[in-house]
Amino acid sequence: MGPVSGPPPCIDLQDLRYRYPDGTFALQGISFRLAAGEKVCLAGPNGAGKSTLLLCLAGLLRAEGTLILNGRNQAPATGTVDPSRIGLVFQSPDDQLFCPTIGEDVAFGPRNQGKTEEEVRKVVSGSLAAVGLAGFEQRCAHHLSGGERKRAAIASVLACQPAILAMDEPWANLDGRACRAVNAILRDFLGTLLVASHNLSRAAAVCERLIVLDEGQVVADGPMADLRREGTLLEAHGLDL
Amino acid sequence: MHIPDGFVSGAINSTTAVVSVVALAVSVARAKRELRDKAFAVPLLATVAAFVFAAQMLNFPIGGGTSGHFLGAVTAAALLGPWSACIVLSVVLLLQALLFGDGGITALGSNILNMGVVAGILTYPLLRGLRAVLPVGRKGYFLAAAVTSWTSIVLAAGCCAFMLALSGTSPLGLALPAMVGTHAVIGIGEALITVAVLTAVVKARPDIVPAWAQLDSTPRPRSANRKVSGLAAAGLVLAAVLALFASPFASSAPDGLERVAEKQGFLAAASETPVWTRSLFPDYRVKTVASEQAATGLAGLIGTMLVFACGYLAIRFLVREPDTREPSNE
Amino acid sequence: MSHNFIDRFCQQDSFVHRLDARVKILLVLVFLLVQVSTPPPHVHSFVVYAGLLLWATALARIPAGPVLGRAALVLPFSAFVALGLPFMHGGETVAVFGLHLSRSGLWLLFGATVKAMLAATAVILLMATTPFGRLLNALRHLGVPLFFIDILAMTQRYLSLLMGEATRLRRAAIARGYAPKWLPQSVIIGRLAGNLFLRSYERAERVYGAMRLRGYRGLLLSTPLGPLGRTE
Repeated sequence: MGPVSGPPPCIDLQDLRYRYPDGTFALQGISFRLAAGEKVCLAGPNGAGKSTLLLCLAGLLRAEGTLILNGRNQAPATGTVDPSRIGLVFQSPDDQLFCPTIGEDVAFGPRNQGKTEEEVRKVVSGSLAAVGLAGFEQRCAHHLSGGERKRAAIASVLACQPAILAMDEPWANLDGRACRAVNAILRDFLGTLLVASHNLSRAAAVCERLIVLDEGQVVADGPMADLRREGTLLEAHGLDL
Repeated sequence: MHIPDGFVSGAINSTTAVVSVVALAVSVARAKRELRDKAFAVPLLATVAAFVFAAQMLNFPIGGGTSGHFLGAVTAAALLGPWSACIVLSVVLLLQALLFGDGGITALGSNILNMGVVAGILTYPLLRGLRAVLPVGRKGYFLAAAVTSWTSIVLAAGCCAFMLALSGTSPLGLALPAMVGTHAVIGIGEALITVAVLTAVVKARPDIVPAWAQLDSTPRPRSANRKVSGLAAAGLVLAAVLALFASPFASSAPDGLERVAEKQGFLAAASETPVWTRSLFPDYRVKTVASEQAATGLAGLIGTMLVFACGYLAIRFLVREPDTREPSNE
Repeated sequence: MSHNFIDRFCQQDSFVHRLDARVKILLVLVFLLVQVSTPPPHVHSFVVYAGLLLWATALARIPAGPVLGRAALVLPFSAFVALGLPFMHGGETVAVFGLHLSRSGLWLLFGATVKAMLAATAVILLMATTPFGRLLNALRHLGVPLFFIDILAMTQRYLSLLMGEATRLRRAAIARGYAPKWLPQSVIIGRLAGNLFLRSYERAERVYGAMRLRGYRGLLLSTPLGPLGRTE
């Protein structure tokens, strides 16, 4: 569990439950707390509920239970999403880059937040620079490599300036160089970070805490370094060291 | 059946352009209403358009070394509604013309009319009509879709042939059988593919299928009104098809009465100057149209529509219905 | 992929590239309307049109060869219908290689071929000198509703992705022995199409989720309209 006294937690989940339309539970009572600025990895085998949990946090799915983000009670999600509170980077960047050019994709969020054109332009160039894609405003998504597209998707989310950044399998389909580039971005991120992934070696380079999820429940929660030594536990829940 | 530049006359292209613009304006307004979640409209219609574009690349053989391809108008209409289908097809046609030169820009209005309006919107009453008449359940839904998608291809091909004939590019006697003949075969492929797509959707994502499709086979009390209007709609479309395509080839031999009049010798008694001189379509032809056969077909179509309209208005206002209306099921 | 050709040239710089997209669209439309209504026997007019296009291509600093090569790709579409015309039309005939072909039909064939080629070249020039986003913005200025523009933009964005998926699906079927010989085998195309549709629909849902997460409230390309002549 996170700290019980001190500054209020950034993310506070208490007995969060989510049910699929057919009635089966995807999340069966998740509870944990993240302090502001913490970088946490959410690991688990395929089907554990990691992606579902992130979608509930982002507000796209209606969950039952208590979900408090930055002091505001979120659950059940009413369909009002606040990009400045939590940003979610999907596993597939093609699902997030939907405008004709990268510049428009990155500008999409800030424009919807009501910023003036001058502010939008500044945020766009700043976000692209932060991910190492300075000058890519006029490029089209389908011309970029996988790694560039991933970074562009991250830029489009960072442009909304969220306090919490959630990422679903950030290293999927990326080569070594691209993974290192992504990690550099994550290390520089100043807010709270929650990464869902089964790739522990990559996650260990960025996250100091590990929460293991299996079959919709939290089965372990502690410092990354300690938990990575528990071979039997990790194997039992479908994870590699 | 994408019409390239220069095959259809400027007059027809401008007319169809105006009609298409109006149809699209109406479609944009109505599509936003017919889709359950309005904000979802843009990503939904865009991905379906990209799907139709990609699916049109998948050719199938129709014998004789030629191949046909999928159109997708009725598939889109069955899942999204006629107005969205028109928008989807128009987007596809515009992008095909701009990016691949498939279909001329000056002929865009004509192509949108054929493949967006005729195939997507005008066949929708047939789809709903058949659905109201056929038994509730999946089989009825697929059968209605199969018949309607075949009809959409044949109808669109026929309209295309008419445009070529009215422009003087190709005589109707050649264009119509050629277009309708080949597309009657292609239409079978369209029907098969449409049913296959709908089957996949019904199996994996039944929530996408619209409410009027009524897939579960529990027999529900059917409103007699629905059944009748379904029959009427189906009948009207079939009558229109016959009027447009079959009447130009109607026999020019004298009909029963004329034959007897000839034989009995009283044909000459028919007045030289007709009583009513302001006939709309003298000799069953539209006067301003050059091609004789096209003129006949057009006259047949307009005539059918006028008769239907008169009949409908007469029944609507003259027949008093008893006040025992069955509740209609949606 | 076909529109890689266009993408290659549309980021270059020249007078034509810098010209306002609305002006270009209107010029192309006027050109298309004029040339398509020119009667085929006015051969000198077509020479003038071709000259205009070649001049514009040179002004845009685009090599004429690839442009004409791309334009020629539309000829098979026209040829399919046009080739029969000299045989179908009546009237005065002309002897060509021993065949008696209709004079009016031959003129129509000539006209159809030349007009198709000129039209295709003009459109390719427009697309090769105007990035698609700018073209859409110009259409918006010219009165096309934003709803339609948004759909066009997103369709174009996902087009190459979906075409790639369709190709991969077809290849997978061929690798498992799909060799269509007759019509009923189009059922297999139907299954590919069904698979493709489901994938497309689910992508639409994910994209919609991504849009909502970045504050989408119904307007995609909410770029404010700029003044005439602005290059952005």
